[in-house]
Amino acid sequence: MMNETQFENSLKVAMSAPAMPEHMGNKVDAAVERSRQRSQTKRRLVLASGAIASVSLGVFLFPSVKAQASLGGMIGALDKKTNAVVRTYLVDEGGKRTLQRVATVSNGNVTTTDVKGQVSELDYELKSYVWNPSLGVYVEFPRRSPKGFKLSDMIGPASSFSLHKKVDLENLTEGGRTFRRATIKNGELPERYIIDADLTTDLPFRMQVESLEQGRWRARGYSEFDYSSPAAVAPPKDLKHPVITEKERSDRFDSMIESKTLGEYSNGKSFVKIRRVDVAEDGTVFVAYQNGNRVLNSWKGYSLMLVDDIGTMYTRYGDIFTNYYGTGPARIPKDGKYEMEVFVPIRRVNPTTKRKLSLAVAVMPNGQLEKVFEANEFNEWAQAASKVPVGKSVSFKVANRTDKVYSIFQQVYDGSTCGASPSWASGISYSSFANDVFTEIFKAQARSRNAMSRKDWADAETQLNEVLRWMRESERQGYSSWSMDQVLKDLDTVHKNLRP
Amino acid sequence: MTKQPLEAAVLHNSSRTMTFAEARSAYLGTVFAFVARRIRPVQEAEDVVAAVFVDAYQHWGRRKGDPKLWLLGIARRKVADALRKKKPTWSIREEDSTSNAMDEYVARAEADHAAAIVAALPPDERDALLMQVVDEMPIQDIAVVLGRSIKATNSLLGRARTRIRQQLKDVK
Repeated sequence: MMNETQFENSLKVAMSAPAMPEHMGNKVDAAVERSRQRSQTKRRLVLASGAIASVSLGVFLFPSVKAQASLGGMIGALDKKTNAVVRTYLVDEGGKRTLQRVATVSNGNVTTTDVKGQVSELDYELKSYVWNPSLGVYVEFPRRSPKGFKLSDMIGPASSFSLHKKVDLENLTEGGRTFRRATIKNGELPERYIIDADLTTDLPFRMQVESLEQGRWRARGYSEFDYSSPAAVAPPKDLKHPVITEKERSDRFDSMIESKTLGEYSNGKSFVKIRRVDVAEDGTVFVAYQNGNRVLNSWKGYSLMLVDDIGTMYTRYGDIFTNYYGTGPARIPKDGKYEMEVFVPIRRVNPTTKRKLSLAVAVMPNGQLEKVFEANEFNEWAQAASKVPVGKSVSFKVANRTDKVYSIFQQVYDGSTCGASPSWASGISYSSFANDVFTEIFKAQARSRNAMSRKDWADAETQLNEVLRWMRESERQGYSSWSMDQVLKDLDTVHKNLRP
Repeated sequence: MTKQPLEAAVLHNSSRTMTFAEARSAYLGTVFAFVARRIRPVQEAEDVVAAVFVDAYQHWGRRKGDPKLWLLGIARRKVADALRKKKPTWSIREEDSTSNAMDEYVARAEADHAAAIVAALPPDERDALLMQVVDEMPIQDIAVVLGRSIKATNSLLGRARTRIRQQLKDVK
């Protein structure tokens, strides 16, 4: 029989860990990347019934068995229905509803149309077709749920990744009608879903999405489920614009973006290829580049830096914007993902003001590219690099080592090369640059963060109000509803500092 | 000289020294081992590890203390969540059995027995014991991961060991 020591040894044997698979790191990175992209969209409230194909479908893990059973009843009832029309409205701060989109479900096929009647998405049999406004085509890819769409998928709006969903149930009476209300909250997200279902049939007849703003729940989206209207989904041949495959779309984008190399650095161990540099109307500089298969090591900024000769102060949004492949398979180009740096001037720059833009990288003694600099170092080496010709380097002492700083791109601009953002930007980050409104939100957010970090409270107030203004504009134009909670909290902070 | 504030990826609290990417590189193996010892098959463990880092990424700015222990705290909760969804099995994996020799057989039987004893412990006691014996963590680290004081963690371990001694004695 075992003594305690033998027990411990046996336990170690029983609980020995297998070798970590080589792909573990990539799997983590991919999951984090998905989460990052999702968190951007979560700032936009997910209006479930309008986001049919993009929604990760219904994994419900509710702590309450009763609630789970009851919600299961709703799901079961929905799954017996094959046809429905679901109208989704955005709700503004005054409570006014504006129709955003209509989803029609018929025998497992789904078509979603916007307010202008344009089909924005079609899921038909084994394929999905998604409208791509920048290309003016529908992009076809294999359907994520090839077995067909179920109406119950519509009430599984939040991420399947979360283990923290919670549902509360209650019976309510309104106008003499008693119905069941399920209120679903997903972890700490400042949003909740309220589904009202018929007590007899268990069929949901409406759903409201609410966001928590300054401690109060506010309706942001509202959906009506109509099971009596005739529901028919036209086949793809009836789409009014050309259809291309996801691969064709990716190939087009790849060949477009890789057709130019505006500047590069390579030392056998590391390389950077500058693919695009564009200047927007407000002076924001968009840089697309490739840098091999680096995945996560630039979360805190990267050594690719921009400086100009007129002393513009840029706030840099350093992040990896990966190739946008819709819901198609991820594919890594030969020279690595397309990455983007966006340098937003903290004050708008007149686009006709002549300025020389310089991009540089820093290389450590081991040949690796620098990835993180403190602000003062960053500024100094960028200035230093701007003074040497392209292809040349300057030495720069960092802590206990000496880096080489290479200038890899210099060009004089005296006008903008695009509107709010270049069209390729949405190909790298659709969620940030899909349209001008999203782009303006992005820029205002960047400026407000910068102003807050400088403790320039007056400027922060201006920029935060700009963020709110563009978020409201997004709702007005029917693009998306945004959670304003964090912006309002930041405004509170600003007001306390401005008027203590 | 022009000031150019670097606030890249301010979603993450830049005032703290370790970046998420650095923590991911430094502790991926630790977290994987922690999870893979408790969740099988390994494919499920991989999913849990990915979930740990997603959670960590989302809350990086709010973390407290040692990043490694903070990550292990998340891992512990994710493991508990995952085990709640299925009945835990603590037997040795098939691939651990490499021969039919009697020694192997005895080792496996003892390992299964040890695992069964641990599986019967209350969850907190089991977690504390596994961290001490299998993960070889010091008590102060176990206390951080469990969110308890060192004294309370010692008590927990004491109770776990008392139960185990009783179990081993009963078998005798």
